Amino acid sequence: MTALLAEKKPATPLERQRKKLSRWNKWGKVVAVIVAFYGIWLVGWEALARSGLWPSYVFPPFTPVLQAIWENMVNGKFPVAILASMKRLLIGYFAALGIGMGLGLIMGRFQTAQTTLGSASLGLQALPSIAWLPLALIWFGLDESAIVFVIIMGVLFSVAMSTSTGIRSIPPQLERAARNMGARGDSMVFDLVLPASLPHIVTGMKQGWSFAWRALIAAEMVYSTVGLGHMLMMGRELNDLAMVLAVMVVIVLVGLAADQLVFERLERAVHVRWGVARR
Amino acid sequence: MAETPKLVMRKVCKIYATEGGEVEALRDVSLEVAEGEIVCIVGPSGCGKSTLLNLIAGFEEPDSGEILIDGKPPGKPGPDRLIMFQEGALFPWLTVVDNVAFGLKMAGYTKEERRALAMAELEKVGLEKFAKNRIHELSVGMRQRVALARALVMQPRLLLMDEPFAALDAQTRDSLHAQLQELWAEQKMTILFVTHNVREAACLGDRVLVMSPRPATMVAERRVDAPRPRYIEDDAVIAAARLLLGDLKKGMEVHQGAGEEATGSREEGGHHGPASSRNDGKERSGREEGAGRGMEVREEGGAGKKNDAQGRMLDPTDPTGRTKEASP
Repeated sequence: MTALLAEKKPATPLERQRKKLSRWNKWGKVVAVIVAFYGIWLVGWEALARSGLWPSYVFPPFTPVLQAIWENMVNGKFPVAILASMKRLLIGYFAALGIGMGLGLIMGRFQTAQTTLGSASLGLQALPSIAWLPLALIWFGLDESAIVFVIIMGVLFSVAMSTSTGIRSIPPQLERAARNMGARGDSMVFDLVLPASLPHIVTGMKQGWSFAWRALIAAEMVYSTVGLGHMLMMGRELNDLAMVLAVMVVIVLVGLAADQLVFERLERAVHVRWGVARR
Repeated sequence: MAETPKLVMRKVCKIYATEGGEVEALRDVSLEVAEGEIVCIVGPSGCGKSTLLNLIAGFEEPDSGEILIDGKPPGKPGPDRLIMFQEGALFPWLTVVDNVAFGLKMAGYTKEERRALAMAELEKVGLEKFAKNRIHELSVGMRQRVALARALVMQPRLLLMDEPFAALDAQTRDSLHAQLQELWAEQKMTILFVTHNVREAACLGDRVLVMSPRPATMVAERRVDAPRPRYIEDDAVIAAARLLLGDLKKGMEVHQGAGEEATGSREEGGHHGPASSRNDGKERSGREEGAGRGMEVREEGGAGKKNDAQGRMLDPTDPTGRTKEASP
């Protein structure tokens, strides 16, 4: 189809027009490839599932999954679950941002803190955050705060370490210039150190978000009464595999949307403004 | 002059501890700068000129010797003596006008005051149209003008300039030389200007101090008495620069052959031996020429004596001296 388009419009001598055309061609190609890829995937899935090789409760076709997504959206189960999950996620995420940036600030400014807290952060970062859940359940009980705690532990060290890295990579000249112009204490932190390390911090925030998302779903699967992770386990208990897959699709879509619409843009905007963007 | 000099350094020494051992950056550096004077310090790259400014700005402390600003020790860094850095050291997250207003913000001016003062200063350097731009959108020359505005908006009585125009192309540099002299004529602040470019030093300085390679000592001092504004292609500037070049080359040999004594960077001294012998003649003729144009030539004692005492070292053809230098 794209080849047809290119032939229909002969190349004009005007370069701008040609460029526009080639850009359209490029985009057209990308879209065509993507559509073809998912088309083949879904049609193949449907055909394989309906071939009768496996019972439908083991391997459901694609259409009932789509139907489950639609029904649960309409009957309000998905919106309620998404809202409940989001609430936990946002509370945990922003708490972790605050604590993590404070921790990172201390680690970035004091060498002793970096050698002590920095090594501890590195170690704890290696621990999958769901491993905190048993401890959280004993400390906080069967409560929302247990899940929030798991999310915080998932995000905290990533944000702290990227903040510290950002602070450590501030060119010493900038710090000297600021001191020279009279920056001290608070103003040093808020007018120099934090803005100067924001490109690194934003990268940490983006990474932290994906850690938070994983931690959330994992924690909700083990314990909760409402939320996406809970719906996933409900589907398993009801032997409703279409439902399980529907929840999985929603988890992917929500996670992807946050990453692309919020964090990718935020990171890009900061990097452009700071002049460190790859063009 | 009866009044207190703006800046006095007496026998200042600075030694850095590095992984490879101690590096002596400054040795017995003494200088005096009067209020409202432009003094240029010229020396080879990496000789410790920046260290000198860091000490005056208060980022570091001397190991021995004394620094006095208006008769008092410098203390913590502050906006009374602003440094303008070679790379500008502007803040990429702020707009041009906010960069210029940074020091004012630290000093507690209100937002309106800051904006008005910063805009006025930007106008002086001809960048008012770029007030809202980001730093990375400007050329290197424009950035240095922003850096200049950022320093001058604080109305410092002492301006420390650390090779601020070294990375610029010739035309931009010339226009900044003119601009700097113009702004100085208005505000009459004291300027200590560090450079490795003798022409630049001769163009800008009321006086020029010449430093040796590390460990840096003062090897010569020359007064440049040509009228302002000066341009880099003025005859007087060229003549003065030629004299300075001679001083600089002689300075290369200050530590030569000092052998056990000089532990600093020695590699440069060896290479410059022959060049300086060629230049001895040039320098002599240059000095006569310069005197004719009203150049007052005054050589500082310390370094000169050292050379005299080890007169052999001044002879670049001395093979023993050179081999000693080449293989540390």
